[in-house]
Amino acid sequence: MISRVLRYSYVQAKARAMKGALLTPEDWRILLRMKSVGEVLTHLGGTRYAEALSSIQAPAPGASTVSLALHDDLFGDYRKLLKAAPAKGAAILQRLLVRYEAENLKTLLRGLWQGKSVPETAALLYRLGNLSRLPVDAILGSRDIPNAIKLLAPTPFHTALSHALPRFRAQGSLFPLEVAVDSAAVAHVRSGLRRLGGADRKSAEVLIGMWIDLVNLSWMVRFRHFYDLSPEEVINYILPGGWKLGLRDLGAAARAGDLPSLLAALPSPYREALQPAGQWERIPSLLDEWFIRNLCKAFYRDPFQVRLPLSYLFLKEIEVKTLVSLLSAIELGEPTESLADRIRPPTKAVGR
Amino acid sequence: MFRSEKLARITIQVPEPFISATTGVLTRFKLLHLIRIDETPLGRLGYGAETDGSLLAEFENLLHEADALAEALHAPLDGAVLRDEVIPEKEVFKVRERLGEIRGEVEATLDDLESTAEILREKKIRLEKFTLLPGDLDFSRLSGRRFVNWKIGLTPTQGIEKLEESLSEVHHALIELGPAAQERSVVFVFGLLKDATIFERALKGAFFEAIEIRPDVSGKVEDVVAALQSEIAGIDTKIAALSGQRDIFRGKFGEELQLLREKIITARRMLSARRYFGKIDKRFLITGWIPERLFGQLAEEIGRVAEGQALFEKVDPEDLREVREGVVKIPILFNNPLLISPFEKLTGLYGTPSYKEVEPTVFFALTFLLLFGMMFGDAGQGAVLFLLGYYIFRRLYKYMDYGIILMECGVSATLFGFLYGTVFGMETLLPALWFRPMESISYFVKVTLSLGIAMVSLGLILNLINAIRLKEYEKLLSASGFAGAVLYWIAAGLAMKRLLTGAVAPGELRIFGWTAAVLMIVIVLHRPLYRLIVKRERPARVIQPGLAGELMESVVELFDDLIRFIANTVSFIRVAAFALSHAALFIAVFSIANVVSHQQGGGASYWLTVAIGNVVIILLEGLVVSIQTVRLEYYEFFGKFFRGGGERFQPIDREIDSGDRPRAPRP
Repeated sequence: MISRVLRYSYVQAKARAMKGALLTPEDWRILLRMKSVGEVLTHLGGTRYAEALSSIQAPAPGASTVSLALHDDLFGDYRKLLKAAPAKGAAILQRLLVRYEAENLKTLLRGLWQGKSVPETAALLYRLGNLSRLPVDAILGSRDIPNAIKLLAPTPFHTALSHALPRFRAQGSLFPLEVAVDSAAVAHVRSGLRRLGGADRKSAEVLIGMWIDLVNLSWMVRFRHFYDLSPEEVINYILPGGWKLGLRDLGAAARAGDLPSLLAALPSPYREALQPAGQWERIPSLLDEWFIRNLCKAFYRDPFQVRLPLSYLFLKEIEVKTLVSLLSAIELGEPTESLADRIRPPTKAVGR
Repeated sequence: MFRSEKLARITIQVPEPFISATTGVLTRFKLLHLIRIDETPLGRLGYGAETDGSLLAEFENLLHEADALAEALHAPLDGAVLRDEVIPEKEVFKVRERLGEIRGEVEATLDDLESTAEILREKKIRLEKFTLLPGDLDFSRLSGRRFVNWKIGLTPTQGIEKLEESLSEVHHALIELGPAAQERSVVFVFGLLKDATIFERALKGAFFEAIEIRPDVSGKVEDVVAALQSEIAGIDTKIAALSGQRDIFRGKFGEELQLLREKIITARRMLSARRYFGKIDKRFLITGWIPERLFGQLAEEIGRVAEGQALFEKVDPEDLREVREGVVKIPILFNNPLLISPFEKLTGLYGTPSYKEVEPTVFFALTFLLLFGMMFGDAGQGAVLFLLGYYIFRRLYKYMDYGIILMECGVSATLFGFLYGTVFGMETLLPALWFRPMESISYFVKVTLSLGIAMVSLGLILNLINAIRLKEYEKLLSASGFAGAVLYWIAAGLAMKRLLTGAVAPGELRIFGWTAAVLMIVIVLHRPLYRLIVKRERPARVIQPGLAGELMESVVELFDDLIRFIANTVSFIRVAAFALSHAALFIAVFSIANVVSHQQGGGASYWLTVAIGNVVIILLEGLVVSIQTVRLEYYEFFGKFFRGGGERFQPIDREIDSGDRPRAPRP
């Protein structure tokens, strides 16, 4: 216990201070009334995002440009916590970043598939800098997708992509590769838990398990009810290692034809959390809300473990994701008032 | 040899119909350093010429085709020497026609070879997959099932549980036959034919890669494998025959393809070159630098191809205002014999000399070889270096220059090996024609100090020549000029006398003291003296408030240069030090060899240790001595006289091929 206190006292204080700088409910009330990307930028200019947003050169930036700048701020937080955390804790935080490498890799593969120019693809990538070990330049310079996959040999994505390559060739679609990249990223995060020990491992396993459950549920909703994939196919895309949801639960959920059957198939606490959902579209926001509640609990329990900085980073990610959704909605001309029901911003007030 | 090639600036005016022939002469002639039209006032006024874009694109396509043919025939791409005149407008049809004929003749064989290779690849993949299956699996017992659907294939091992779950609602059997590469397993899946769609969907999600069992495949797996192996052997034979045919075609067309390729490149180069020319009405203008001695020959050749309608203007660099004002630099064309020219690369690493200064490559080469030989003197190891250099020279065309340098270093090391009486570190086999370094250390130090004085003196003399050529007369009276040189020589003479005879007469010291005092005063006062005596300025203009600062600067320069003279000279002691460390390493190697042979009880281990030691010394000392030699050359020798800042002569063909030389700043 004493060694945990010594190891985690600095990083937990830092994470708490950073949580204090998250956007307030008042910020969100104002943001949800904004009518243009410019207005959102003006408001965010008065928050901790000001520094990251000042790097935007374009006079009238679009949602994608702002999204990259907001993520720069998120990666800045990762850097700070990676420096502050003890080695084993930092390793699991570092592994969370593999999901952004996965996003970059999917962008690179899409660029190759669509024959985009190198600068065009490069402009869409998250600016991870030294946080990423992806051979971006080599992939940008590769001739085709199979060659790009060969270049990934030292990364966690290589084996999964090699497995999906025959299916990619048969279907002529990037979907199998994208699913493989996402699955590999989640598996990489989960495998990092093995390095932790004791209380650290237990609490991190629960948190990462919750996150995997949420990923599985949101994928299931997306694949089954928006992409219209068969239950048999969806079951094969399930990620193992969740907290409450086993293969059988998820199999039953995937076969559910309507929302009540889905809820009936789910175990507690997900059944209760999703009870208010009247339609499929509301499920992601309800899942976010439930996750945010659980993340905030970490701040008033034993603070000297990796769960606390992990929780902060998840909260920050949800905040950035919500801001990007808001900006995209504004850019597409959707009324922002209607978003209030669909997005769940993590505010520092939640969980207090 | 001691100065770069004398150049002249020429401007050629050619009527449009003769531009291809003229460009052809220029690219064949090579020795024209083109001045791009956009770097001249004419170009900035918009008188740049344009090239025929569609013809250029046509040659690009032909080059791709020639490359593809050469690659398919495994024929070398480079090496042809073009002797004919190339006119792009005429050549395009001939080249296109000939490439078409060659392609027509070889196409069937190459296509057959390619498709057979593809079939072979597929068969090998099938064989690889079938070898994963149990040998006694009998396909004939599986065929013709009316109600059962089955598949064999590879699936990620960690996904098998999910695959089971996805099939859990239908009747099925999933048998794991064994592991395969890349964390996959071979699985055999059975189910009812009516559930085939569910099976398809589940297998799709599980990234299942089916092993295709064609309807004609029957019998046991081991029989199928044997049949595939036999088929592969047959295809291998066919490929060998087709490859033989391809080799015949290569022999028949290889050289011609190289020649056609060279013609295409030349034509493309000629068309590209036009972008760098000027054009006024129907006449092209070509401007550049050319070796003066070649002007007559070039004018005659161009006059012939342009049917006497070309106009030439030749200007001496001295007559160009831009050159006098330093706005335009005259490029440097090195002019060294074959054995010296490889050292131009090493000179170039330090800098490019300006047109008027001494071209130092020959001094660099000779002193480099001398210093290297002195430090690496060993007849046996020198011979090894020579052979290594010879191998590079003959086999690695790209590094031919380094091969020559290595051969020359080998010769020098061998000569010094004989002078020191050393062969592979053994000092008993040869008599020393001069002295043995380990036995005459103090003598060796004196020799290297003398060498240092000689090289520093040579540097000072070259500096005086450069100062005169560049009309830097004021510097002649400075510490780095004539005054400093005289001071150094007197001091060095006295030091040498003391070293060799052990004494210096008091009278000599007195004379040195007085001379040094006078020279130092001259050095300190060299700027005002120059202005008073040479520039004939009035004393009132010379003696101004800034004079004190000027004198102070001269004093600092004087002390700085005096310290440098001493440091530069003493630095040459390292030649003796590295030669001694070379010999000391051998002592270590022989000691280790003795210990090893005593322990192993045999002579073979002794000689093996000596051989390994020699290899290590060649690699280690070779590297260290080369670095030290380059260091002495650059810092102690070049530092004395080299000014640099010149521009290297770029032959027209390389200039066009590079296409991206940085533009000269606008005056």
